Amino acid sequence: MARSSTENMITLMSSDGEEFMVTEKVARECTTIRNMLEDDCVITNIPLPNVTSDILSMVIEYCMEHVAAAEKAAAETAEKGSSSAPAAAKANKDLEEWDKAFMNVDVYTLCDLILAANYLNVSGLLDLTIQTAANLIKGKSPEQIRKTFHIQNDLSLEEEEKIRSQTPWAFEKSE
Amino acid sequence: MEGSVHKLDSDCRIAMAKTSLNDLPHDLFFLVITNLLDVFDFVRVRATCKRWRPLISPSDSPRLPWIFNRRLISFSANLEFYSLASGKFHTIHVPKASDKFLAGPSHGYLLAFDTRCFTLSLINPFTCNEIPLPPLELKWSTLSSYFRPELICTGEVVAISGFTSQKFLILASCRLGENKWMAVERQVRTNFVGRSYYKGMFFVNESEMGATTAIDSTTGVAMFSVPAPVRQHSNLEGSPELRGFDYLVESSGELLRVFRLWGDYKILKNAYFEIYRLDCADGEPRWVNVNSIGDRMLFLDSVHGLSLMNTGVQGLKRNSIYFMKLFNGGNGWSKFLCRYDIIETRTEVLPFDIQKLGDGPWIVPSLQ
Repeated sequence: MARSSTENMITLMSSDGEEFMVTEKVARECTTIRNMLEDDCVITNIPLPNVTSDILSMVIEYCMEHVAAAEKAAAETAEKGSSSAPAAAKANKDLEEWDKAFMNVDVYTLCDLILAANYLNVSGLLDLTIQTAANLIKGKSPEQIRKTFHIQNDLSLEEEEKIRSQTPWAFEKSE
Repeated sequence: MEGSVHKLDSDCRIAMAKTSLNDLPHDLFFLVITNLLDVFDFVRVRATCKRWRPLISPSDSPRLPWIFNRRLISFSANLEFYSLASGKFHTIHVPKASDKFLAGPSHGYLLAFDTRCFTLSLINPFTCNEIPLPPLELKWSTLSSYFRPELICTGEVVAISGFTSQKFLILASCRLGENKWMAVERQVRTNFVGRSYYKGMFFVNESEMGATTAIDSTTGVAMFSVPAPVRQHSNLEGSPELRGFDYLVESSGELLRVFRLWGDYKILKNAYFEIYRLDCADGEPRWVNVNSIGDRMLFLDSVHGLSLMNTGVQGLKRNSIYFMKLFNGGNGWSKFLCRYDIIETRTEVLPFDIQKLGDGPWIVPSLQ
């Protein structure tokens, strides 16, 4: 994709000191950064002390993909005068597939992405990660949920027994 | 100084580098929980560890309604529900529901009528909690054996209705904790007549799309009559009779009248609805046609309805009516769960296999 060379570039710096050069458009996908840019338009270097380089690179990857998809849709609309519904539906589906593949990460990375999406205020990524985390819980027994999220069972046998007796139907083996 | 503390913080995080669900701030953890739509998942996640339990209150349980598969022949203690969230049937063993006819629709509690002792109670099948209700003073010996009361309102006031014979409908209300029902008997034309309890009054439709009578629930006196609505589409093609389901539903402080035309079973996708709102301004009660119910959603069984606010629940659509539709395209009868979009006046068949289901009622699971 050709980008005009005059486009502003912003440097984002991760907590471990790595620098990422992105276009202003991509950076603006993060509402937190957009607000900084609006307060101070000459800012070009933004330290992000709460995000590590591996997570920041993923957030940038997400934002770039979504900016590219939006640009492509806008270009098609401009070209044809109006957007064709089937093409738009296909583009949406492609982006959904991309999101799905993007979410193929371990639970630690997923939780880090939730924190980063929240801190940088990328609403699309926050929705996606939260939904993915919820999907990992669905249909699982408490034991399976603990295993999935590496959580220690700190309930005593008596406590567990008591909890189960209140709603036994939720703990029977599902058919 | 400030900066060095910050650096220390981030260094710690890198050293650990393992954020789990446990480490998320409460608001983010809670966001994950609110995306669980099935009460099963909600209960199980609460039973995962000690730390999570106080963070998730039973009152935050998912608001996605279930369909209770009403038992018609034997009243066993095993209750079957269909969950829209998981698309599965779930059986819940409720010993207190044995030998009792259960009716809704409701938020949590079902009306239980003991078919042997003729006693009434409210049962929450999800907690097995039972709230006794006063006895209904009827001449049971003269009642037809099919007397089956239905719930028309729960909350501080419980209101029920039921047919004591082909033509007589009994309407009764009682305040929770009081020991007496206030009952009114009313002659009606069909068993499908819409009825509801609203602002201390019973509302009963006299006939399909006919006038509605408002009855004071404490005195039994008819207060006023609401004239039949001015029909929106009186010349609807192929249905000169205009017969149908005629619901009265209490919805976010309003009383709605919802009419669904009968006889559309040969076409799967096209249901026909009209919605009216009770307008009591100027002291002249009347039905006013509405083209939108905003963020609300209606869930209808064959006689009653439930109104819910769409709080962004995934998969549910605002300004819609959820209902079950019989279809016969020439290969016998089948049943579909449909959603009617009020703005687009379009019916969509939802991908749920509900052939096994009766006609409801709807119930919003509650753990309280």
